[in-house]
Amino acid sequence: MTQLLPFKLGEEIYALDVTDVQEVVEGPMIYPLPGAAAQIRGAIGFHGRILPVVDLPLLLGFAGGQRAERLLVLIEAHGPMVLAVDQLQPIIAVDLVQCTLIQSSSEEDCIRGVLNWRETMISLLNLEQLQHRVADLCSRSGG
Amino acid sequence: MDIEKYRTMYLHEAAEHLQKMTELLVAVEADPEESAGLAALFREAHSIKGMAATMGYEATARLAHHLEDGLALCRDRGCIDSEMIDHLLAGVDLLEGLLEDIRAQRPEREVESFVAHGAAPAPPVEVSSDELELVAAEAAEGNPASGLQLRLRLAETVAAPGPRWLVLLQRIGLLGEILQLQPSEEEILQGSSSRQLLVRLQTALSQDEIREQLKSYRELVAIDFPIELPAKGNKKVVPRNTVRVSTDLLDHFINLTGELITNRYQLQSAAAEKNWGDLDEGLGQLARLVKNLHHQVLQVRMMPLESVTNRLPRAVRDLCRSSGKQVSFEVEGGAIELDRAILEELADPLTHMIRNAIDHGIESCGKVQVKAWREQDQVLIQVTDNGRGIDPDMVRQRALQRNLISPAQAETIREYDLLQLICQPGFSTAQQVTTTSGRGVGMDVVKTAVERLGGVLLIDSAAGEGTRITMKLPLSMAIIRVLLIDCDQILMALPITRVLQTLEITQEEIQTSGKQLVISHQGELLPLLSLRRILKRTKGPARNPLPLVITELLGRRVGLVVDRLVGQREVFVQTLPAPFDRLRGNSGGTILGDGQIVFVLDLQSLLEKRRG
Repeated sequence: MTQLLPFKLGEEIYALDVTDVQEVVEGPMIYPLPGAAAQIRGAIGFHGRILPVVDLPLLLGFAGGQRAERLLVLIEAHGPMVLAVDQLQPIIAVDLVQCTLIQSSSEEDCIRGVLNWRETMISLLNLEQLQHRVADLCSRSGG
Repeated sequence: MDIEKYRTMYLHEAAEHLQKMTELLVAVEADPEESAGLAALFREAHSIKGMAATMGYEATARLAHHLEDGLALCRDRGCIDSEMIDHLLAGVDLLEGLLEDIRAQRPEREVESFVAHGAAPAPPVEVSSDELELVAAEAAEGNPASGLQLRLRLAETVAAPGPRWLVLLQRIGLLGEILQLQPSEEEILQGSSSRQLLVRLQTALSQDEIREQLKSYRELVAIDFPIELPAKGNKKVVPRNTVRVSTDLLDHFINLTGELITNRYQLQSAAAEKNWGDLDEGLGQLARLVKNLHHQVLQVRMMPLESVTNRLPRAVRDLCRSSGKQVSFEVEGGAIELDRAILEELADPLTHMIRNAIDHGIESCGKVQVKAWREQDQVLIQVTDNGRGIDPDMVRQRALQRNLISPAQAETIREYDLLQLICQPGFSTAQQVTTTSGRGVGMDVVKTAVERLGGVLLIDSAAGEGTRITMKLPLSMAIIRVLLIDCDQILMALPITRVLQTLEITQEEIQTSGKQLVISHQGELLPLLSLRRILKRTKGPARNPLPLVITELLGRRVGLVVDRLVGQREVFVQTLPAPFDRLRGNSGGTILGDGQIVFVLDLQSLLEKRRG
C-alpha cells in the first residue's frame, strides 16, 4: 500500500507520495526573494536553513484561486524545496498496482499518472518533472 | 584503497615541490650568483624523483633524474644561463603534465624525447576507446568490489539532458553510493549534452530492483548494466577538496570543545537551580566561546595571498622572455590572509592584470608591483605598473565607436568614469591584440570576478605615469558585513564592500537631467535609482529627507534610494539550495537572530536582467 497526501489545485485533486514529504507547515512568514519570478513565492526559514517556496498552483497554471497557504517541505532528495498548495486532504492508502494508472504522455503537466479512487480522479504529481520545470524557471530568470 | 590515500598524498606533495622548483628557477635566473638556490633546486628535484620511484611512476622519476643531472652540471660549472632555465622550466611543466596524468589515472605521458633531445613531446595521442576499455577491464579485475555498472540512455525528445541527468542523479544517489560518473557531474553542470550516462554504483540492490526503481522515468529509453566502463581521461572519483590544518589549530578546537562541554554543564545546573546569576554568567561564557570558535573556524579557511602570487614571477618571466621587455616584479603583503574561496577566484584575474600591465603598460623596461594590505575587514590588492598609462582620449574614442557612451556623454564624462569603461565587455584599446592579452579584453572578466566576490574594482591611471588597479575585497565570503536596508517593509542587505557611502538628501537637492533624476555629490552628478522600482515594488510615500546609498553599478557611481537605512551587521550568508542558487538578484540569504530572513542583494545582476 502506498500512502498518498492529496490536495486541491483549482478544481482538481493532486497527490504526492507521503514519503516525498518531510513536513507540512502552515503560516510561516514567507520572505520574498529579490528578482525571482512570481512562481517562486519567496523563502521560509526551516530548522535554520533558508528554503525557497514554489507556488504550485501558479507554476502549473491554475491562476486565480486564493493564495495557497499550506506548505509541503519536500525531502532532501527533491531539492530541498517547499511547495505551496491549496486545501490539504486526509492521507489515503492506495494499492498502486490495483489502480489503473493512466499514463500521461505530455511532460507539460508534471503528472506521473492519474488514478481513480472512489470515483475521484487523483493526479499523481511527478516531482522529477516538477523539479525540472523549476530548474528551467530559475535559469531563465537567472544565468 | 590504501594506495589511493598514498596517491592523493603524492599528488599533493609533488605539486608543492614543483611549485617550489618554478619559484626557485625564476629566482636563480634573477640572481645567478646565489648558489644556495641551485642546491635547493637540486633537493626539490631529488625529492620528486624519490617519491615517484617509490610510487612506481617511472616516467616521472626518469624525468626528475634528468633534471637533477642538468642541475648538477650547472652546479659544477658554477653558472646557469637562460637557455638552461628555459629547459628546466619546460621540464617542470612536463612534470606537471605527468602529475595530471597520474591524477586522471592515465598512463604517464612519454618523456624520452625530452630527456634525449630536450624537446617537449607532442601532446598525448588519444588512445582508441577499445584500448582503454581493455585497460579499464584490467583495472577492475584487480578490484572486484568496484560496484555495479549502470548505463542509462535518455530519449532523443528530452530537450535539455543536463538538468534531467541532475534530477536522475539525485534519485540514483538514494539507491546507493555513486562511485563514478561519466560524464562527470561537473561536465553535466557545464552543459554536457550527452544522452548516455555511465554510473558506477555501490549498492545493495539487485539489477532488477534498480530497474524497478527507475522505471517511472519514462524519458529513460534504456537501462542496462554493461560489463565494464569505457574509461576516458575523466575516469576519476568525484574530487574531494581537502585542506591542510595545522595541529596547533586542531588543538585549539579540542580545547574549545572541552570548554563548551564544561559550559553546557554549568548552564544546565544553573537552569535546574534557577540560579539566574550563574545562568547569566554561563551565557556570557558561551558567547565568548562561540565567538572564539567562529574565529578559529574561519582561520581554517584562510590562506595567504602568497599561495596565488607565488605563481606570478614565472608568468612575468615567460612574458618578458617572449616580449623582450625587462620588467622587475615584486609582491608586497603576500602574507595577508584571505578566505580560500576568494583566493581561488582571484588567481586568474591577478594573472590577467599582470599580463595587461606588461603587454600594454610597460614599454621596454619597467616595474610591476602587487601590493596587498588590510583595512578593517577588507583586503586591498593593488597592481601597479610604471608604464605608459591609459590614454583617456583613446578610451573616449573607443567608447564612442563601440556606442558605450553618447557623444554628449563623451564631452562631460569625468576621467575617473572614463577609465572604468575599459571594464565594459568587448572594450579593447590595444591597436594589436597580442596572444597573451588585448588591453581591455578580460578586464570585464576581472571586474565581474571581483564583484561576484562582493568587492569593488578601481582604476587609476595618468598618461605617462602608469596604471594602478585596486581590488577591494571582503576577508571571507561566508561571513560578511552588510548594510541592512528597508524597502517596502522588507529588510534587505547590501555587502558593505559595495557601499561607498550612505547619506540623506532633501527633495530640494534633487535635480533633473533629461528624464533622469540626479543629485550633485562631491562635484559629480549621480543618477538616482529607486530600489523599489528595481524590485518592481509599488511606489512608496514621498519622503523628505530621502535615505541614499552611494554604490557603483555597471561601472558608474549611482545613488540608490531606499526607504530606510537600518544599520550594519555581521551575517552568515547561506547560498540557496540548487537550482535556486542560479536565480539572479541575490547572492544568498541570512537568518537574523529573531528568525527574519534577509537576502543579500546583487543589484548588478538585477539591473543586467532588466536590461537584457
